[in-house]
Amino acid sequence: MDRCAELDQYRVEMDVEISARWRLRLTILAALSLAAWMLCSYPMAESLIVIERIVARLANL
Amino acid sequence: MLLVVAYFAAAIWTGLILTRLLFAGEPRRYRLIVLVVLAQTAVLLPVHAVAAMELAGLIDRVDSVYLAVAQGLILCVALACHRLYARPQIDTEGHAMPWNCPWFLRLASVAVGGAYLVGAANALPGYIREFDAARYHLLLPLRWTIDGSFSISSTTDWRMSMPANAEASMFVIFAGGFEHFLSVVQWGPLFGLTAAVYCLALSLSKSRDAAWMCVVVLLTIPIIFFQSFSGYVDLFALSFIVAAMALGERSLEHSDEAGESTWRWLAMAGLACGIAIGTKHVYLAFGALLGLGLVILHARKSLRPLAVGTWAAVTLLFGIAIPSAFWYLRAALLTGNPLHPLGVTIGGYELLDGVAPSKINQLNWAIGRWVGSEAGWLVYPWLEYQSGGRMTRYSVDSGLGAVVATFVPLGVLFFVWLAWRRRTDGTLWFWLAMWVSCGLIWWYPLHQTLRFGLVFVVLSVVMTAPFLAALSAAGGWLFGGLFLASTVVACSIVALEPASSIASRFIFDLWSRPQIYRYPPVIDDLPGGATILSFEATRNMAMAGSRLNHRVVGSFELHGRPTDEHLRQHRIDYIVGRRRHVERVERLTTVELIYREKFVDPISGGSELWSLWKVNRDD
Repeated sequence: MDRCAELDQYRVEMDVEISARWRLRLTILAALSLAAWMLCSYPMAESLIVIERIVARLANL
Repeated sequence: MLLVVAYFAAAIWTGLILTRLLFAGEPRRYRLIVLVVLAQTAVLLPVHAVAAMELAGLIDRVDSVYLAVAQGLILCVALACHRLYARPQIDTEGHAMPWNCPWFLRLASVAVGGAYLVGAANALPGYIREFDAARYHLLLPLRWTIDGSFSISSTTDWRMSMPANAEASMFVIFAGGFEHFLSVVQWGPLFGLTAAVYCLALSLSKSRDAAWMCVVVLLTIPIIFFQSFSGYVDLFALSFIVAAMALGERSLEHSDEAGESTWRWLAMAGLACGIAIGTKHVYLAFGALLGLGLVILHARKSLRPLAVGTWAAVTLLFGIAIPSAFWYLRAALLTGNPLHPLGVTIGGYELLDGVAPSKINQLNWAIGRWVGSEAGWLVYPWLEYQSGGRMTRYSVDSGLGAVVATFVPLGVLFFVWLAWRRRTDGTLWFWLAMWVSCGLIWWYPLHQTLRFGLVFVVLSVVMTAPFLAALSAAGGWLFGGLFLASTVVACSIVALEPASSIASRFIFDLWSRPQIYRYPPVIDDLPGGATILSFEATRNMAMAGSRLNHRVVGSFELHGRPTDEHLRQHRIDYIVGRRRHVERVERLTTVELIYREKFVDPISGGSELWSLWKVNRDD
């Protein structure tokens, strides 16, 4: 099924059409959500610290 | 080794035969779920049957030979059924439309596959060390192997007397004398879970891209990733309850009045639900919710609601009983309480004697562990805090991952909007009601323990499918890039810990069991069959020794400070502990110190003073 056919089927089956503008807005919202996760997430920060330690240890070898 | 491989191969073969017999011509994605459910049932039934025979006094002890014979019998029955009832099948599925998988989804799948390869490379040659797994989940099948019995009593510790289908699968591996490859028991259910999520997401979005994206989102969840290589049982139970949802949903697409058979799908949904209910009590609530929902929906869409509803309930209950009745009957017959170790109290009146659920799963345990207050759950996907977590704070009971934070909250909001827009669409409202109900079960009776809420999380992922379909259908590079970036970040972080573990194994040359579990090798030299009281909660499993021939009693089984009476009661031969346990043990009159040395941790360089006492029992 090519992309246009899938899009058409989706519109018919789900009775929902999203304009290109709304699609862009929602994608930007998702991107902002990822950015917020990158800034706030403890695992993200901890893994950066771990990588920094590994690099420092490798540099000392 | 050969016996264990043959046992699992026979179970898969039985599953394949029955799937082909009962579900020929059905879509392949559903047949895969059925295969996993039937194969897992075939793994469990011989264990249940042989254990029941031992409890009934028909055999001396549960033994791998009896298991092999029982598995062989099941396979013979399946082969006989195939010979008697198999008819030439016409492929009604037809040729599937070719699927042009988008570039970003291919790359994201490669990233997920890479992370799981790193996880497997770390887990397979290693040993399971996660807290609850090493403390009691693995101890239980090992105890069955050494005792040759599944017996419990009303005084057995709650950790050692719960329903245990996941541990029963591990028991087969232990019975073959193996400790490596234990996490393999999680992989079949994980495969079933991905197939079930794919089916549910496809049914909600009508888009194969979106369904596959949901699978990718699911596999990037750190709790799912880490449990796939662990001895925890949440993923195992989760997989089968979600499989039951997918099979139950499929049953609703059929109608007996239109000449289509629904019982097969309902029975399979029941089997899957039964495996989950026989794994963990927590899933009783989710199973009851799903069963009730399916019975009501089947009754509603029929012209004979009472008859159809009753028939659906009976079929479901029959399916549920097959893989779970053993545990509840064992509890009822040996302790008088079918829900043992759980106690049930209503309005101050004790209906069933046992441990209060709030003592097992403490109230407010989540506060301070994952969130500061209950309102903190609203931002948890973006913070993923865990107090005292490991390397990255991701673990078997913490973390949702970058892809969930990026798409799932927005996807759920989109789903709610879609349901409001399509008020007459019962399917959307059914899943919304299931999602809310699962959330309420997790919030109130399960006290917001994160891994107990995995059903809620997985349903959230499934509900994101229409959102992902809407955003991806136009094939824009912005969405593709975002999906790929979040997947790569999530996979890199979850793979960091296993990769670091593999690297340290090579750098510090850590290959032996004592080195990996970090315990003095003198434990391995203790005589076979000895009973060891271990104060080392996270190393209880380690104390079984390299030959797995020590019977380990965890200190939690004493329910208090050790006494000489405890030592007699549990027939303890040796006690092992570190510096902080010395004072507790040396008050006992029947112990004699036989070993005390510093054991140097090869990675941290720190040393721990280990002590080993011999118990001089007069019996």
